[in-house]
This record gives sequence, structure tokens and C-alpha cells, in this order.
Amino acid sequence: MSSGRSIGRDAARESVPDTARYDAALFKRLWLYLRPYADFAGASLALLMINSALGVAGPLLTQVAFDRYLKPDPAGGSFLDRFLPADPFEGILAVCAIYFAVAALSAITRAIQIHTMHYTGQHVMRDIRREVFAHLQRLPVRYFDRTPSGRLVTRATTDVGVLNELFTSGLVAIAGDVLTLVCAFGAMLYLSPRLTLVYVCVAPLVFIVSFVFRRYARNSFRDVRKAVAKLASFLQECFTGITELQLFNHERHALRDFESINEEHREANYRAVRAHALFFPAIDWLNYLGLALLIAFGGRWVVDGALSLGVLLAFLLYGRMVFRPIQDLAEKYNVLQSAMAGAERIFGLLDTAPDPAASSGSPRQLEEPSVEFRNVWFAYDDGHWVLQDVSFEVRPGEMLAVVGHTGAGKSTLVSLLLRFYEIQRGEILVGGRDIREWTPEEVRKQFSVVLQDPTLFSGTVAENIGLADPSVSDRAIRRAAANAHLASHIESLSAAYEEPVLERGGGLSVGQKQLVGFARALVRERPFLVLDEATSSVDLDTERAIRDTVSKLLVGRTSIVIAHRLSTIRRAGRIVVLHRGRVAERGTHEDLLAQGGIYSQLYKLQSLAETSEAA
Amino acid sequence: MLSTLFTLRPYLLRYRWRYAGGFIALLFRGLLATALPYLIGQAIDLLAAGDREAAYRIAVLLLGVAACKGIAQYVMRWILITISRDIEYDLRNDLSSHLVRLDRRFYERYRTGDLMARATNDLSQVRSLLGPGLMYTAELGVVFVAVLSVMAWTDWVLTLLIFAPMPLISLSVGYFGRRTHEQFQMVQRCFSGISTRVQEHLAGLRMLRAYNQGIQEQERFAGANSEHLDASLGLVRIWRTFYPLLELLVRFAGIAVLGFGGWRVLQGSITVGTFTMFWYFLGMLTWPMIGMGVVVNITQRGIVSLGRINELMGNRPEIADSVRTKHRIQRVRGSIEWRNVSVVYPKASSTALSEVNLRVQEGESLALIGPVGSGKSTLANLVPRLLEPTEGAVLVDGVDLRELSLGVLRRSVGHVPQETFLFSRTISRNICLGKPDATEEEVQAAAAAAMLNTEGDSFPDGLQTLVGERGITLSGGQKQRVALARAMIGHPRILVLDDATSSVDAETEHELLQRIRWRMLAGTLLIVTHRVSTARLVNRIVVLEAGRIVDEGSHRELLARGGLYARMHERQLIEEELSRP
Repeated sequence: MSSGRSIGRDAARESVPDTARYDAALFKRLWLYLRPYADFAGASLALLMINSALGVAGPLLTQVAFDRYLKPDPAGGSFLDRFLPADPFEGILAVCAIYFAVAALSAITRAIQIHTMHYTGQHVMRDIRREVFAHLQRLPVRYFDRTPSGRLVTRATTDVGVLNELFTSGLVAIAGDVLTLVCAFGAMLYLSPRLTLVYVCVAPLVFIVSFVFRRYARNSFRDVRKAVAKLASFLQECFTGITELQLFNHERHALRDFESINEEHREANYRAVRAHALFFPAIDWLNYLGLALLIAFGGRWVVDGALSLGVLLAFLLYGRMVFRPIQDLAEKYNVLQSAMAGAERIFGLLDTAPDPAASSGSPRQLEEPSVEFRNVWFAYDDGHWVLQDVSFEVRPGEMLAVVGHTGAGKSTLVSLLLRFYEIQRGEILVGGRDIREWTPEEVRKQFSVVLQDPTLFSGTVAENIGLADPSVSDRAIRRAAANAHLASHIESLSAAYEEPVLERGGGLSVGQKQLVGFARALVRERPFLVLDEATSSVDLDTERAIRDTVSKLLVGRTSIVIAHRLSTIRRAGRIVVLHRGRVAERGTHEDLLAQGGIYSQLYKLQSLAETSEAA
Repeated sequence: MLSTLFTLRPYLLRYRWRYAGGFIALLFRGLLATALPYLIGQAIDLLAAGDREAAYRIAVLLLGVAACKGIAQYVMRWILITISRDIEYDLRNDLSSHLVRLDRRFYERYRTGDLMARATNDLSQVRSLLGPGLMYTAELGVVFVAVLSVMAWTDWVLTLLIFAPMPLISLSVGYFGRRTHEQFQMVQRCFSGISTRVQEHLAGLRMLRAYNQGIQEQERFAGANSEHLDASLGLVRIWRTFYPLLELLVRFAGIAVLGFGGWRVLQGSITVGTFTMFWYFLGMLTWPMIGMGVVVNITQRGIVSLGRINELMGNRPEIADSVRTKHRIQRVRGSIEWRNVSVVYPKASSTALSEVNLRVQEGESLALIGPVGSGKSTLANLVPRLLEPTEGAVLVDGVDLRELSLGVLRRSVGHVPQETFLFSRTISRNICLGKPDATEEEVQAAAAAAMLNTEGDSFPDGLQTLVGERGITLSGGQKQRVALARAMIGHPRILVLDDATSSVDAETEHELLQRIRWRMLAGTLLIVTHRVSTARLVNRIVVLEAGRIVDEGSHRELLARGGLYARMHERQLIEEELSRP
């Protein structure tokens, strides 16, 4: 135990200079976010000072009232004496009036201070969140494949919140505590340096007791948190696996296990309770130790005439005032630590290099709507080729169908065409030009896209179709919805186009979600169509609606369709059969069927599937 | 409201003696705490009278009384707070033992997240009500009565003046506490709004990039972001009124002591010591008055939470033993009969099964095949009574399942679903779920029957390998084989495999089924599948479509008839062909 601690201390000592420099860099960076609100932050700090100064007025005024009027004592002279009347009754009234003014002023400054402080903190938070989200736009798709989305959500939410803590409950609160202490000790020194010296003896004890308690409490809270997490994960398992538990008559065993985890939780809490039960009386006793010292020493000086009774009383009152800030300071270290960790994580994300493709290339005019894949090789992970030497061409106005079994690499084609990923070898040409000469945005602007998963988001139906594009009019949205056979359903909703779509498209059927995806593509006039058909089966009516919408989409567009439906495949001018990342067969429907290869098998499979579903 | 609290009665009674001890300590603490300002007042008076030695005497006395008060406070906190932890412990055990008895219907109604929230957050709200809530209320009462008596006895007019702002403090803490709580929930909603935005953005990333939605997305995010900002500033608006107001009210009481108390001293009706004592009493009362508002909020939230827990406790399991249960039947041989069985799921438009009649002999193997949604899983789920038939009856050995004890039935039926749930423990302990007292050899044997301990699985620690979040992730096929071993370890008389080998390749599956058949000896085997390759391994195949039995026979007979079965067969042959490397 002791050796472990000393090792820890050594390690801490070693890392101190680095940490300090590092923290300084972190603070510098945080300062950049604070700078736009420097006025507010500065005002907040100034008001905090005024407020702390006003806070020490109470005992001072009591001292004056005491030593001048209640128990007149020449030893207790005050700078206020010149302004105060001689008559005791008037004097007391005057002191009360001053105290009232102080209280009112203090309330006002406090209100403004709270406002400016949080105003700053909240705005800084908003700015950082905005920057984090904007940065997400610039990161390559590959980054999102690697990073769990939960982690990114935490960056934009909780971590930023912790930063605010750093500012409000961390730095400003520390400044407040320090200022209160400084002001109180200043006032005490002014009243009696000797008695201040007596009282100051208690301060280190308070600090030590608080510090030890915080450390112990931190450990016991960590145990409690661990126990809570354990409880939660056990319960979660039980609820998720309830059928298994019941099927195997395992309820009683599970409960026995649960009881022991529950017991662990209770034990951990017992320790936390004990820490609190010890700490509060201890700190309270120290408080009375301070008072006892004041009475023992100060009292004697009062009787000797070296000290006025009013000053002693003021000290007794200050004794209560300085306790809380000292305790708080012992706690603040933790807040700072976790906030710094949050800042580090956020800056780590902001420092992730953006998509290099996003800045390369230049806007170009499309001359003729054609697409060509020329000897394209692609792998998500090095050495594991998903596409190998794929070549094909789509001529202006033509529709090309890409078919293949699961895992043939069809959807990857779409991702490459839209430049979500960079290919390793070969070229992809749009309008005769390599897409790497364009910015990704310019490439994507040429396409109406229907992806396999239509992903709806919370917002109105109209927003889900128009995608908050200012160039898309309400009329266009309505027309697209009508063309996608959605109009009657949407109009039956209580708020029609303004009806909110629930999270992840809840409330819409699978088929309707797909149709919303089609409507999105229909609403935009683009030279190309990329359609990745969904495989999920839908009811007959929806199936018919989808077929019809697909045919509308194909009109006037150069199209690449990853096709599953026979009805779609039959519409294609030419068909490319992808098998294990290579182009296995190509030609018209009739030619390919006659060949009797992979295509004919895929075709038969799909017709069997469609007949058994129809049956 | 009070009837909600009534459910706590037995728990409170259980700890009545400790409560009594805690409250006695609380009483002592209150009285000693009141004595301290009195001592300080005495000290001031004695010093004013010029008694030099009084300073020491009183300082020592002060420390002694403070120490006693500290001890009483320690005892009070320790007893009263630990009781609340004990009741929390009891309640949580009772709640969970109730929940594990509830059937599927219940778990379909309540989401896991909701249940978790009730078993953790709500329970700790109730705990706060019973612990700090109760303790502070009692403490407040004692301090109030004691301090008030001393004060009023000394100078009742001054007492009244000091007390004037006190109820205002409580009221404003209560009022602003509630408003803070409401506004805070608003902030939380906006906070989840932000995280939903990010989540949705990430979920639809490709679509959004395909449509160049970068700027629009940033605007949408800015919307959620500024909503959150506004809600937070709303909270700040409450705080910036509340905290200064609170300080102001406390200071008003201070002014009352200073002004009116000072006047009384000048009049000569109270001493400077009493004046000092009043200053201290003022301090002693301020925190309790602030605390009162907090206590009111704790109580309100605790009662709401208790109501949510009571709601769960009010649910009764629909599938359970009843008066009809024949407890003398302790063994099952294994014949199954579905007699005119229909099943309609709540909220579903069509029936999952309609008037199915089917018999399986003891020791027989039967395959149920059909497309998705044909009702084959429903038919199988009826056997271990995971659900009840809407009409008709399921009989085992000629006895209606509703007359068979649930414990006996489930001991006799092994059920392996397609998507199984493995607990984050070792593989071995997962297998032992089916027989907690199983020996090492039994586990090995069951694992062998499920083809688990072959070299190919490469578990780092063999059967002692940890699975789940903190362990390794098993493949679909491995999971299914663990589930199979788990179902077989108890030697059930009936084994239901509900698409339980779908992730196992065809060759392994063939051997697996042979081993299962061998281990089951004369037991009954029910195989639910959508794969013809699986069904053909069994002599008797029943074909289901849209909740009805449409065909029955051996593989060869069914192929010859050329119906649904034959179409499924043809399709699967092509798929196999295309998947071949």
C-alpha cells in the first residue's frame, strides 16, 4: 500500500512539468473560444470581486454597532465612525441602512454575475458544438467506418458539457472561493492581526480533513458507481434474457446472483455513508475548535482591554464564513481534472485530418452525361480486394443494371461513384473526366441517389423529401410525393406534409420509407440516377407503387441501377453481372439468359422468390 | 398520494427499532446543537462582565458539547441513512424477484430501458425519500422546536421579526426548486435533441453526403444547438433570480437581528450575549429553511417514483401455475398434441395459427418448414408455454399444458431459438444455465453433443472463455451451438430447435443433428426450419403456410407433389450453387 503510493507519487512528480505545459496549451486553446465573450467573462470576474468584498460587510457592521453603540469600547474604533451619528438609536438605524444597501447591491451584482458567467459558458459551449459538428462534415467516410457513432455523439454532447463545468463550477467557482477567503482574511487582519493568527491555525486542519475526505469519498463513490454499473448490466441482461431464464427455470439462481450484486451495492454505499457520517461532524467540530480558540484567546484579550467585544464577535461570525470556501477548494481539483480530459478528447477530434479529397479538384461543367469505370480496383482493408479490375460504361440516356449475388460488391460501386472512398487503381469517369478532378460536392451534384437504406430523420415529411434544400419548392415536394404514390398517405395524416416523422422513420412502413427515398430523388432535376434497390419484401400494392416510381425516375436520366426486381432488370438496356468483385458476364437480358451462366441462375432465383411471395 | 406510500409500511416496520435509535440520536443532536449558541452567548456576557477565567472554561465546555453533538450526529446519520440503503436493498430484491416471474406479454409492453430506469433511478428516488428526506424532516422539526422555544422564551418579539422572512425562504426554495426541475427537464430534452441530430446525421451519413447536405445539416444542427442554448439560458434566468433572492432574504433576517436586537440591547431588555446568541440561531435556522424546500422536492419525486414501482408490482404473470395445476405429475414422457390451436397476436390483423391439429409421438423426430411468417415458430413456442393458444389446447402426454406445473414442463422441454441470448459469463456457465449443479463431465458431454469442443472454435480458454461485452464475441454458429448444449445438458424429454442451426454450415449441421438424435435417445425432437437441407434430414416433414398446415410427408413425397416445398427446394439449390467458391 505505502510503496504503491510512493510509486504513484514519483510518477506524478515526473509527469508534473509535462502536464503543466500541456494544460497550459489546453487553456490557451480554450481561451480562443472564450475571447469573443471576453467582455462578459471580464464583467463576471469583476462582479465576483465586488460581491466577495460586499460579502464580508455583515460582521464588520456588527462590530461597529457593537463597539460604538451597544457596548461602547474605544479599542474598537472603525473607519465608519466618522460617518455615523452619535445617538445610539439613530446609529443602529444607520448601520442597518448601510447593511440594507450592501445586501441590495450584493443581490444585484450577484444576479448580473450569474447571468454573465452562464451566458459566456453556454455560448462557448454552443460554439464548440457547432465547430465539432462542422468538422464531422469534413471527415472522410472511412473515419466513420472506424469510429463508433456513440463515441462521436458523446464528443458533441457530454464532453462539451464537461467543458462548461470547467468554466462555471471550476474556474469561476475557484476564483469566487479564493476571493471570499482573501476578503474575509483581509477584514480579519484589519480588525485584529493577532486574533487572525490564532484563527488561521485551524485552516490547514480544515483543508487536510476535507482533502482526505474527498479522496476517500472519491474512492467510495467510484465503488458505488461501479456497483451501480454492475447492477444495471446484470438487470439489463436479465431483462434481455428473460425468456432464457424462464425456460431454464433459472429465475431463482439469477435472483441469488442478483442479491449478491445488490449486497455489493449496499456495502459500497455503506462506506460512502460512513465517510459522510464522519466528515460532517468532524468539520463541524473543527469549526467549534476555531470558535473555542477565539473565545479562549480573544476573550482574555477582551477582559484585558486589548481587544473590543465587537471585534471578537465579528471574528466569531467570520469563522463561519470561511469554512465553506476552504472545503470547496479541496473538491475543485476533481472537476478540473475531468474537464481537462473532456477538452483533450474534443480537441483530439477537431485535430483529426479532414478528407483530403474535399479540398482537391475544381468545379466543372458537365459536357455529356456518361459514366465509365475503367479497370477499377478497390479494397476497404489493404490486400482484401472488394472490386477487381471492374470496367463498364453507361452511355448518355442509357440504363445499366448491375446484378449479382450477396457480397458481389454492388453497393461498393455506388460508394465509389459518389466518391465516399478513393479507389486504389484505375479511373472513374463522369462526362469523360476523372472524378478526382472534381470536388466531391460537384460530382454528387450530378446525381439523384436512392440508397438501399432510405434513412429518415426526425423532421416533417416535407423536410424528409426536400432535405431542407432551399432550391426545392413546396410544389415540387408535393409533385414528387404524388409521383412516388405517397400523396394520399401523407394527406391522410393530421398535419399532412408538416406531420413530424418519428425517430428513424417510425410510423412509416418499410415500403413507404423506400418511397420517401424515391421522392427525394424525384424532386431533384439531375442528369444521373443511381439506384440501389432494397431487398426487403413489401406488400403487393407497395410493390406496384415502387415499380411505377422506378419507371418515372428512369425517364430522362442516365442511370445505374443495382437491381433486384425482375421488373427493373427487364427495363435495362444492358446488364453487368458482378460476381465476387469481378465483372463475370455482360450483355442484354436475352443474351445473358441464353448463355445460361450466373445471370440465368440469379434470374431463376429471383423469379422463384417473387412467385413464392406472391403466393 | 398516501395510499402510494402505504406499500412501504412493511419495510418501515421491519426496521422500527433501528429507526427508534436513530431518532433518539437525532433528538440529542438537535438539543446539543441548540445549546452551543447559548454557550457562546454566555461567554460573551461573562467576558463583558470582565470574568477572565470564563474564556477558558467556556472554550473547553464548547469543545466538549460540540464533540457530543458530533457523536450524536454520526450515530444519527449512520443509522438513518443505512436503513434507507437496507430498504433500497430489500425493495430491489423484491422488485426483481417479481419481475423475473412475469411473462413475455409484460416484457413486450415495457421496454428494457424503462424497466431499468424504474429499477435504478426510481428506486433511488424512493431511497432518498426514506433516507435524507425523512432524516432532514425530523431534524428540521427538532431544531425548529428547540431553537424557537429558547428564542421565544428569551425575546418573543425579536423572534417573530427574525422569523418573518423564514417562510419566504422555504417557499422560494420550493418554488424555484420546482421551476429549476421543470426547466432542467426541458434542457435535458434539448440535450437529447442535439444528440439525436448527431446520431441521425451519422446514421444517414452517406445519403446526406450524396445529396450534399453539409450546409443544411449544419443549419439544422445549429437549430438544435440554439434551442439547447435558449433552454439553458432559461435555467440561468431562474438561477439569477433565485440565488440573489435567497441571499437577500437571509440578510433581511440579519438586519432584523442587528437593528431590532441592537435596539433591545440599548433598551436593556436583552444582554449582548443574547444578541450574539440570536446571530447564531439565525445561522442555524437558515440552512434548515433552505433544506425544507429541498425536502419537499425530494418527497414529491420520491412519491412519483414509488408510484411507478408500485405499477410494476401490480402486474401479475399470465402464464403461471394455478389451481388447475396437477402437481402430482412430476415427469413427462414426450408426446405432443396441438388440438384445434389458433393463435392471434395482440394488435395483429391476421391470425398467426388457425385451427392447427398435429400429433407427435414420443421419441419421434418432426420437422416444421415454411416461409417467413408461416407460423412455424409460433407453433414451436407453444410447447414450453412461452405463449398460450388463443383457442384450442396443447397437450403433452395427453395432459393440457395449463394443468402441468410450469417448472416440470420447462425442465422437460429444451428450447433453442434462432437468436439466442448468452449471458456475459464463461461458456461453461452459460451451458450450466440448463443444469446449475452439472459436473465438469456433464458440461463436456453436452458441449460435445453440440459439437462445441472441436479444434475449429479456438476459444482462448476452452469452455472457461468469457463471452459477451467483456469477453469474446462468438459467431452466430458458435452461439447457436452453446445454446444447444445449454438446452441438452438437462436431458430434456422434448427438444425444440427453432431455426437453431441456421448459422451452421450444411455439412456440420448434418452431423450435429445425428449427435443430437443420439443424445436424445427416446426423446421427442421438433425441428423448425426454413431450410430444405435441414428438413430433409428428418423423416416426417410438416409444411406450414400462412398459419395452416398445407402439406405433410417425407422429403421424397413432398418433392414429388411439387408444391411450396419443391419451390423452396429449387431456390435453395441455386443459392447454394451461387455461394460455392
